[in-house]
Amino acid sequence: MMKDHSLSPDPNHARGPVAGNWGSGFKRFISLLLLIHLAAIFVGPCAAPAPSSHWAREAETVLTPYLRAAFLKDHGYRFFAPNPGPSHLVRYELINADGEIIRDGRFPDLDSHWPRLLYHRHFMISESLFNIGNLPQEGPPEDAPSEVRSSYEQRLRFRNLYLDSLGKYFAQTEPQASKVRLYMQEHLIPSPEEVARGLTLDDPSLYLEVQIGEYQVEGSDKP
Amino acid sequence: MIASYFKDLYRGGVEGWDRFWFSAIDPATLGVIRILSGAMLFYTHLVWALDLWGFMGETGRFTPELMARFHDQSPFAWSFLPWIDHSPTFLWTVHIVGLAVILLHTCGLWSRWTSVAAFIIAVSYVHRVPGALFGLDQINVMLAMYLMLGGAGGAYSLDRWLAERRRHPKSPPLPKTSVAANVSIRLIQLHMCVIYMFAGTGKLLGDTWWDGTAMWGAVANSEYQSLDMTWLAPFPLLISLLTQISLAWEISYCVLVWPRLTRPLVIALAIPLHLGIAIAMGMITFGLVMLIANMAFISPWIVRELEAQIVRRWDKGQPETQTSPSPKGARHQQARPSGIR
Repeated sequence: MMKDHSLSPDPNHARGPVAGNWGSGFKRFISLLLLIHLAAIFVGPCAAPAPSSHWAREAETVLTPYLRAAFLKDHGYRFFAPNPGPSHLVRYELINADGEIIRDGRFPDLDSHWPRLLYHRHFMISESLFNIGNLPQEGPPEDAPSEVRSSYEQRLRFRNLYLDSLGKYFAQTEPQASKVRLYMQEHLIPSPEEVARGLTLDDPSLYLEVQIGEYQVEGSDKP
Repeated sequence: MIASYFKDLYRGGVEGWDRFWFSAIDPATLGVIRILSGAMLFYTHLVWALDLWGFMGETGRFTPELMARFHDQSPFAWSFLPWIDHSPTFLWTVHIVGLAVILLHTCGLWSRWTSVAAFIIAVSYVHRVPGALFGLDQINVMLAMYLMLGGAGGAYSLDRWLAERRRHPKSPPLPKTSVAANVSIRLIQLHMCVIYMFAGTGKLLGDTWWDGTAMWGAVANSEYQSLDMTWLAPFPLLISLLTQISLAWEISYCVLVWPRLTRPLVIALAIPLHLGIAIAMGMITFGLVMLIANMAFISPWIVRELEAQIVRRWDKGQPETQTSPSPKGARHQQARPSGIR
């Protein structure tokens, strides 16, 4: 085990009574639990996100119940990795039965989401929706392997469930709404040279928008 | 010779393991981490309250079906909220009770139980809103998990203060060190090493961390930005230095944080890095909670020294308590050293 070099000759081990008395059997039991836990916290980020090795995915399968129960699953800790990329925002339109837009909005929105942590919650929703919903328009071809088709269909169902859940939520906020349209905006990051030439970070040319779904308040809600 | 080497390796490994995990330490550092991380958890849950139904309610942004799909229908992604998320009254009642429990955990009252309850609350909330989470939640839950192992109430807590007050002068002194506190601190330390190792190595997959432009991508992202750092644009050398110093720091953290000579440098570098994230990139909570977790590498001896300095300064500012011969002043002086430790 790694030796811990403290900052003073004997700082940690103050003299005096010790809370608890751990016998050798108890220490062995705790050691076993520690080994399982240490394996879990290492295997979790080894296995996800991709790319990951076969052993890591297999080990994660064994440890998944524990990883889930302890909120350690799928973390990865890849903050701003592999590259800091563009951010994603969601714009929504609430539409009445006559097809008129009765309200629209965007999240995250610094003007309405305060404090910053609440803003960040909304930001994470738009980012997670992008990660889940970023599917190719065309599915795999008919002759693609069944696992590929099945994986695509599962992701599609997940995306539609997310869009429905958000659409339903926004629809509740406006009784006259019969339809909710959702758009994903990608906000590109300009290069340092472009900024040095005078381009601002919120220049309209840096926003790309695509409609990602439409939720019907009544009837079938196919996006 | 080979057999002798493996015998020594085994013996050294077992002894090292025992010393590393099962030495008793002063729980001072863990006590400070409990107060600060408890306060962060309290704030996190206070912010959920700003749109409690929208985030946690049955008809909020995350329907129960969506939540289950996020967790691949796993029964292990547990949360008590689905039992009550159909009723705003129940949800609000439980939320207020939860806030009170987290507050008690922060203050260290009935800490054996409130720390476990704080962990249950923290996990229940994050499992209920899987699409709205980020690094703050991962660190909040990690700290709550390790703080419930038993030693967190041993210092700077109401439990300790009450135990000191109730202790008969002739009874044996209260424990000053704790093995459980050491296990908690070690787990936080090792978990932080895992976090930085994957944060660093994950970046090696990206070309912007190699060509030195990644820092620009982070600071010029206006959805994150809370401080205009675009003045960096004409200084590509500075951008690349900042990028690769932070990358080198993350990758080397898990090695250099252990030796006595490099630990202060590694922890000192964590301060500008995480404060930079907090101030420039609008993630105040995340930047601060990472600094709180890094405190696991601060020796309890330093914490006690700081405490002694604060007490000395406090005493200087209160001359009447030092000089007053009155019984009230005498009681105050007697109570302070044995107070919350």
